[in-house]
Amino acid sequence: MGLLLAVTLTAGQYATLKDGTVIILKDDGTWEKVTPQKSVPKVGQPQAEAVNAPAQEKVQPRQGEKVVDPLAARYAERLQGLWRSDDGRERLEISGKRALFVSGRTRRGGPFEIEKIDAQKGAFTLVIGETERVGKFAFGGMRRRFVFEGADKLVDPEGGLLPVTLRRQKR
Amino acid sequence: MKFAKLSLAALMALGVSAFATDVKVDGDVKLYYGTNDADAWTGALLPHPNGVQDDGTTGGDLFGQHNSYANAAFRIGLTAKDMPAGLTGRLSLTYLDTFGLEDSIVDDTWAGNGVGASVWFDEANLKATLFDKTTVIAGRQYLDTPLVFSEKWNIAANSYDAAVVVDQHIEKTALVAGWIWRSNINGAATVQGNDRIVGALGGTPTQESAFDNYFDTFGKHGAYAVGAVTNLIPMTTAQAWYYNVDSVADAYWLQADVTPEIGEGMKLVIGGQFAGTQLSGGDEDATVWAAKIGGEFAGLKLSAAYSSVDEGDLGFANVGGAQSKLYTEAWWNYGYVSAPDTDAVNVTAEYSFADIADFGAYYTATDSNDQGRDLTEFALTVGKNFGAFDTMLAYVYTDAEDQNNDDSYNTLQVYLTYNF
Repeated sequence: MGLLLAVTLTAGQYATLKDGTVIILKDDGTWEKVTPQKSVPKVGQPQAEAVNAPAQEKVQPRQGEKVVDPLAARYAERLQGLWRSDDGRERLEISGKRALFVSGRTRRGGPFEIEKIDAQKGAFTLVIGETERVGKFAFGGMRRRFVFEGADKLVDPEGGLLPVTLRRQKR
Repeated sequence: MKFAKLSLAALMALGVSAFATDVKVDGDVKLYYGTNDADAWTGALLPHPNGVQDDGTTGGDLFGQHNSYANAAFRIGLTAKDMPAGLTGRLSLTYLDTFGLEDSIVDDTWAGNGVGASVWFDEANLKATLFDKTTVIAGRQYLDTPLVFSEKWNIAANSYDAAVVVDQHIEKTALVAGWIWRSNINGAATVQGNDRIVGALGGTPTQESAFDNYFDTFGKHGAYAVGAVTNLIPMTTAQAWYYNVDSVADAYWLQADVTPEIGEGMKLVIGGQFAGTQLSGGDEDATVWAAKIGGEFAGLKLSAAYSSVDEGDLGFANVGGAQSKLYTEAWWNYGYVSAPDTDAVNVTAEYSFADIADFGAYYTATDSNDQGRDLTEFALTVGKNFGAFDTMLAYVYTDAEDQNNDDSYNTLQVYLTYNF
């Protein structure tokens, strides 16, 4: 399912893929295909397909404005906060549009992006501090592949010999 | 020779990019500077026995050229995924230089075998997934095991020519087997072969000694390691390792770390270590045990640890360097807590003020029955990230019987890193 295709978010909950499939985005980052239902219009209610209606209100980005994948934006929002690995060696801070990753004496900070989202698995790649992308080359930054397991747990399946688990911390 | 290496790097990079569909380029530029007020100290290049200053006076002088050391390093790496047969390739080149600082503000280097430049590949490996959960990495790479690992404290990390197989078919468990045949040894004196390995295991306090592009055979004929790491027990990471440095030494390492939640935002950390080393043809095996208790409370990390190494031929420092994985390891003066016949304590406190800086305080003390090897170290650090720039300032108080004529001294270090 090509989530990479243009996605139009509706009311913060529903999205319409380019192929017309409508999905519902869940709080845990997963999604589910839904079938739009035609409702019987009541007096005064606009006649429209409930889930598709907001799609008709799609706002075109202005020239020069970066198109933000709404799903990525949603993941970025879920990442906000402080995370620590179970062994205490790694720390991830996401605040606004910036991220800081600390592992021992190594710190890496800067703007971050969410990419390569697999919404079915809740998986995504976190890119911190990338400076440039030319063709198939990406310059700078660090990358970690995480999977959301619930709202307060991140797992990097290839973070070490065993998967590395980061949990949301209270500041 | 350097041109040949660079050309090889360019060719490999081109080769990688031609096949891969996804190429990541990463790297950093580092400048590390350190200075102390010791009358006598040992640098990576030279001993500095008298503290002779530029004006001819003697005695250590903080920020004085004779008491300072520095290096700059440039590293660029390529990671290529989705190469033919599903391989992932990794190539990284390190350039280490003194940039003429030796003529102006320093008299020694942070790392490296000499004044001037060195270039070497710190990584050049291929990763393949053989079966669903079995991975092989072959070539030059960083390793992270209790007695053979890459040390990140230095301006460049040491690496290994190795082949490593990791199998994860057992739930929450990784089985590891590795063959190591060469390495550049971080921080150990550049003596050869057998002595070098034994020296590293013995934990001689030579953390400032030279290393760079010199990759030598591990021991006499290489070494192998097998290990298992598991999270099968809830809230616990347990690991067991066995090493054989062919015709030189055997070693094992057992460790368990338990991290139970004791409240919202509060975690307890309890750890235990037990290990042994045996020198081939040696007189006495050595063992060590260590324990740690600590906790994390609203961003504050606190821990206290104790270790005890009994008498023996070998200690428990990294075979590829100077540091150890013992809970009591010092912040800067490596090789003391892991030496034979030594008891050690460590207290660590770290706190991160959000949007301000990361602060750390570290206390380490050793009591050695080996005459003249006791150490007291106290270190304070503050680190701050400015996007691509990362900075850290460290103060280290050292009082070691075998340093500075058994007199204490102070060290200041500045770590500047630009990531790209």
